[in-house]
Formats: sequence, structure tokens, C-alpha cells
Amino acid sequence: MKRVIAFVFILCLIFPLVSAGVSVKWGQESILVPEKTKDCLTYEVYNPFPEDAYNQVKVSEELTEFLVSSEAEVKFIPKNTPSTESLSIEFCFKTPKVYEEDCLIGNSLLCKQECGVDMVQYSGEVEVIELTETEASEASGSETRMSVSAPLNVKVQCVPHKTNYSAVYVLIALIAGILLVVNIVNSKKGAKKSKKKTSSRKLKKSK
Amino acid sequence: MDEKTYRGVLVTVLVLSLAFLFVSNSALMTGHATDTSTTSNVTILKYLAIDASPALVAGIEFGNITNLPIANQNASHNFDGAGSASQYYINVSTDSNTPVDFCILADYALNNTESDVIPLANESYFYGTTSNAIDPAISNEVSFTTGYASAGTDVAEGSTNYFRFWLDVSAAQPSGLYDNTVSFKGVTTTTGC
Repeated sequence: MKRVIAFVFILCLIFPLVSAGVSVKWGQESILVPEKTKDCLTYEVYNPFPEDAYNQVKVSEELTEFLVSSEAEVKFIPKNTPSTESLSIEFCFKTPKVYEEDCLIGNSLLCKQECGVDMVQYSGEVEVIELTETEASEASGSETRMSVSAPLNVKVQCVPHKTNYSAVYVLIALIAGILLVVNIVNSKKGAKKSKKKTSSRKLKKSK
Repeated sequence: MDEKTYRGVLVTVLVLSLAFLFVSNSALMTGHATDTSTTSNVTILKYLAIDASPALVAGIEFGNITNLPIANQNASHNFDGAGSASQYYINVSTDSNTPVDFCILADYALNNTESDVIPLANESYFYGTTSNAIDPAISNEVSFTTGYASAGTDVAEGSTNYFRFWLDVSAAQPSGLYDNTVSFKGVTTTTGC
């Protein structure tokens, strides 16, 4: 973070009063993602103006907690880069678990999901900010800052499923298997014992 | 229960459990394959680009004020363009495919290092796609807020949005250098601020 701030500060010294402009281009402003799943959205920046531009690209606060990766915080965009040659920036999100399951045991065993609730949606924006700060003025007034933004919505898809009894089936099969093995082993042991007894009786009789 | 029956029951239970496990999981696999496919719901391509005038990039200055109180002090470039037009403007590039709505905010009220404050309501602005000796007119002035507010809607590609700024200062205002930051944001029209 300190490096980014230092970089921005140096850029501001290099380009103190040149407005290079800001731009954004997007072809998708919503993603529908199942719970606890990662998915990515791509936005683009370009620079049709005659000055090189350094732009900061960021996602608004509403969505930062789900952001798992972002390709660039500060992007250099060469002058005269038209929208047809725009540069891509990818943002990847991992959705949280938002829909409650109906579980037979505890909060995580033998659960079903019926999805009877409204879809949860997180709305925010991608903001492209021009990194040109105004000089410190000797008169009262306001510094200016310029940006453009595009909407970004992350919709969390609820995936309905019935109760999964696999664990129960596995447990029953396991118990039946163990009892079967124990029974077989015991009967074999019993057979050996009775064989020994018979042979020892025969031996006594012959003596 | 004799041993043979007991074993038979155990084997039956084992086989049935495994069969149920197989059937339920093969059904789940099919269901999940259908349910988890991700869809997108927007296919329209939008792009917009804006750039500010040199005067706006340099900041909004109200000069040195020597007589208080003062109402509607003009920012230094409010009228010094051609035909008394404002030199504060933002262009919407022709390399855009959507009209632009502009939003504006002040991060905080004008203040100095001694924490004296000129109330936010005293700093105002107005905007318009044309500028001359009258427009943007002070009669339409709007006070700044710390949240984004509309500052021009539906500004077409290749057009310009002009701004003017004014400041009121009361007689009791302590002397000093006051500043803040004003942010301009361009969004595709109808998105809202």
C-alpha cells in the first residue's frame, strides 16, 4: 500500500496539472455466482486523449470484502488509445454463504436447500480515478478530482438441493460390513475350537 | 435368529445401503451439473471517456478575500473564457457511446489548519452544456454536499459540461487559507450518482 501511495505521489509530481482524462468500458455489469464460488468480471480502460494517463482503478467499498483478486490498482494508459484498443482489468470475486440450509442434524449434516428466499445481490461500482492532483494553492479554494464509474453487481445464486443421505448410507453399510466381518471371524474361530475339541477327544479315546 | 439368517440380513443391509448411496449420488451429480451453470445477464457494450479543462484541473480558487461579509464570491475562472464563458468544464469524448451524467461532491467543508470551517452550504455550484455571460447562472446555485449530487445529465458524446462556483463568507469567519477537495464523477446516463 505504501508503495502505491509513493508511486501515486511521484506521478503527481511528474504530471501536476495535465488532465489526461479518464475512461471506462464494460460489456457486463452483473455476475450470477453460486454461493462460495469464485467468478471474474472484466472491465476495460482506454485513453482517447493526447496525454499519457495514469489511472487508479478500484472497486467500491460494498464489494471489496468479496474481492479476491484484481489485476491493477494503478494503470498506465498510453495516449491516443481508442476504445477499440482498450486495456482489460479483471476483478475476481468469491461469493459468501448467504442462504440458510434446512439441516436435520446440526448446521451442516443432512441438509436441504429449497431457495424460497429472494436472491441476494451486492451492488457497487468500478471507479476509474484520474491521478492528477492540483497544486497546493495560495488562495482559498478546492482541489479537484475526476473519475468515471461503471456499475457492478454480484448476484449470489441459490442452488436448490434435496437432503443428501449419503453419510447415513455409508454409516449403515459400514456397520453392516463390520458386523458381518465380526460374525464370519467368530464363526471361523468357533469352528476351529470345535475341531480341536473333537480331535483331542479322538486322541483320548485312542489312548 | 440362526447364523445364516443373521448373515443374510447383514448382507442385504450392506447391499441396499450401497445401492441407495449409488442411486442418490448419481441423481445429485446430474442435478448439480444443471444447477451450477453460471449465466450472465448483460451483453450491451458501453464506454465513456471524459477530460477536464486546465482551469478545473488547477483547482477552484476564490482568490484573496479582503472584505467580509461577502456573498457569491466568484471562482477565479467563472467568466474568463471566450464571450465570458466559464473556463471550468469537462468534455465528453467523441470516443464514447453513451451520454454521461455528472455527479459532484465536496469531501468536507472548506477548512484551514486551525480547524476553522466555512460551512459546506456556503460553497455552491451550477452547471450547463452552454456557457456565456449568464449561464451557468447563479440564480440556480446549489450548495455542495458530501454525497454525490447530480451536476448535469444526459451530456452527449462530444459535448461539454460547464461549471461555475461561488462562495459566501460571513463577517465572523477567521482569516486563513481554507481548502477542501471537490470530486467530479461521470457515469452512463440514468445510472444515477
